[in-house]
Amino acid sequence: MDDKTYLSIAYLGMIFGLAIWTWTVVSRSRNMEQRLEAMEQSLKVKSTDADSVAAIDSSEQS
Amino acid sequence: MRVKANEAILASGFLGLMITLFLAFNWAPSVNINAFESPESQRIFYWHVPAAWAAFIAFAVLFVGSALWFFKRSSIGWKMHIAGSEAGLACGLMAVWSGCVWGAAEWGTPWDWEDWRLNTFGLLTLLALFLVLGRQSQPDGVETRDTFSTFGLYGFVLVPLTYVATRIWVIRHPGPVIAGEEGSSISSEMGLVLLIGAISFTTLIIGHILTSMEITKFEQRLERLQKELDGE
Amino acid sequence: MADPVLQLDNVTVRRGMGVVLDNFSLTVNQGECILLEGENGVGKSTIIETAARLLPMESGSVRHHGAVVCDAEGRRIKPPKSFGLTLQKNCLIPSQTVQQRLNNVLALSNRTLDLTGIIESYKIANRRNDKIAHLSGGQQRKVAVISGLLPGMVCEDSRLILLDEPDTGLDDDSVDCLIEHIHMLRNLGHAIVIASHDSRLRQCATRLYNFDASSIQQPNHNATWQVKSDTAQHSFLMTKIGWQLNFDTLVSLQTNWLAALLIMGTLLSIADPLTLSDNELILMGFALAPAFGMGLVGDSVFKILQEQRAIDWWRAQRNNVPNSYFESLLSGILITTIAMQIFIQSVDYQVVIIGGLITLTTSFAVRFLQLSTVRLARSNAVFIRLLTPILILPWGIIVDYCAKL
Repeated sequence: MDDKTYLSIAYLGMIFGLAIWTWTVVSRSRNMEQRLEAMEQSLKVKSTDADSVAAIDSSEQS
Repeated sequence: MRVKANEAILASGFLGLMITLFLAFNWAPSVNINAFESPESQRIFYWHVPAAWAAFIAFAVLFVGSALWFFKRSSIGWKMHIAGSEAGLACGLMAVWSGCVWGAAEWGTPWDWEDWRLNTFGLLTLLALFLVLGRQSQPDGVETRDTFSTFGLYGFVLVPLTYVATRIWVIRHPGPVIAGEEGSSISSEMGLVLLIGAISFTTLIIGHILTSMEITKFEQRLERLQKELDGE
Repeated sequence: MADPVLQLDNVTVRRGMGVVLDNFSLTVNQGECILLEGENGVGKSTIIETAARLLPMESGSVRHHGAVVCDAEGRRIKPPKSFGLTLQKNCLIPSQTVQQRLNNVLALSNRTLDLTGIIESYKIANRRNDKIAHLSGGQQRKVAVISGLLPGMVCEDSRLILLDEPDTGLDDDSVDCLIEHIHMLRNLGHAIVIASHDSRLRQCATRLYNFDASSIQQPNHNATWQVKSDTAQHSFLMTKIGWQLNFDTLVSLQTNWLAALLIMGTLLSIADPLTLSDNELILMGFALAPAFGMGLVGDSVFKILQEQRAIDWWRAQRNNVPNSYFESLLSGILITTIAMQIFIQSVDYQVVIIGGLITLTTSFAVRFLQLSTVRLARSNAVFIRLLTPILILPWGIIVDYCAKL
């Protein structure tokens, strides 16, 4: 295999890997947003962005 | 479907990478044919260096996020920790993989177990892999966040060590390209392609970090809703 | 007024998804027995585990007998007196016998005692020489409960006894026996904290604490436990260095030694050392690979302590939990001697010592990584060994160095 073919295959592999990763992240984000909206509509509530683990208010105590 | 800002950033980063790739193959000059075993493989450098650069940005985000969580219990800090580890893993793997491709062609071996630069960077990538896989194996909670943030803080010690490794130890890996010694200077065409690559990778990594932080935000909102359904 | 044995001062503890104890304070005096009640998740076990120094705190401090044993600054100081501890999980080492386990507890209190009467009362006297792994769930729980009560049974001066749901899995007779023992130990002057949902244990308590309110009561039981133990300066060294646990369980043989022998066998299967006599670097690598592999398997004692989370019980009792450092060093020396004889046909004492040190430092590094993840809910499933390949680099440098000796 000459140098250029070797390099092209390596580059294509990496571009392909990066594309799959980017697509996975974007579709995960979109799916989760749709799921969240569907749940909020069916429950008729609007969830807050608060982080349960980080919050320190006393209502967090179990 | 509406395209969000982070998705547009991701797309422009990806486009920039394609341009880098085109320029690397068709425009950037060849290196001195006598100085390299495999002169064409040197073109991997236009991918390898920006990937490593982007990985360092991601590891910096990981470090800042870990510190913010560990010392301030900041929710944003934890989101940065997650985003930094995922982006660091992806870019770290790109840098390691492209380095192996070049090493196999130039040195005759994809990896050198006695090279400090390779090994410390490899460890950083393994650390990111550990943080991503390990976190997925644990329920979310303060114990999980504290433990992984501690490792995020440990890991950042390796970043300066990795950068200076080529200067301190006599190793196979070439010296630093950015802020390197005078002898490491490169031609202007090469520098331009490298710069476009670095900007593209940086744009892509920023897009990934923003998207990942958004996913974590959605996960936390879902968790809240689940708790409400549980009646807590 | 009786002296305080346990004090939790303004303790804030986060656990799981939120703050479980928020500026919580509790004092338990000599001769007091507090029963913690309340629904699941209210924080009963968190109080017990915080008192036992097992949980990091955001604020406050914990004192045993007036001395700080841990605080929010991260200090962990050995308690001035041994204390009894039964956690929700049994925290037993399944490869130990019942007698060996109870001997460990006695050694921590520097006492000896004929245990026959006690284990007979829980109907496990016939099992005293059986391995814990061979016992039923209920019998294992009895061993865990006796371990928690024993420091109070062998010491006349006041001790702290922490029992987290001790009645779980016990038959009715054993619960009656447990109640009797708690009464007698409380009357002797020990301070006892119990977390339980079992209403039968309410009769033992001088204070019922259910987080919303607490009520004081006077138990109707005056018998006192008669201490019959003798003081004995146990040499705890053999347990501390893991020697005893290694001998009891042979865990080092089945893990570290097996890995080292497999590496040696694999290397022998691919190359005849006599044909490689010119290549000193390769031969030195072969000679030092078993020692390295032995270390990469990790600390054998740590491995057995992870079963049933026995490590939590030991972490509560001691700052330095048992380890196999000494055994690792010896094993590394021995396996390197054997490997050198096989691959190089000569033994250099410097390389042999370096082999021992390779096993010791490698297993220490692996143990450090594992200890860093011990707080996690699923510490065995955390991929921590992904970080160990970095150890190949120093090993390679050492092989280079040894080849030039």
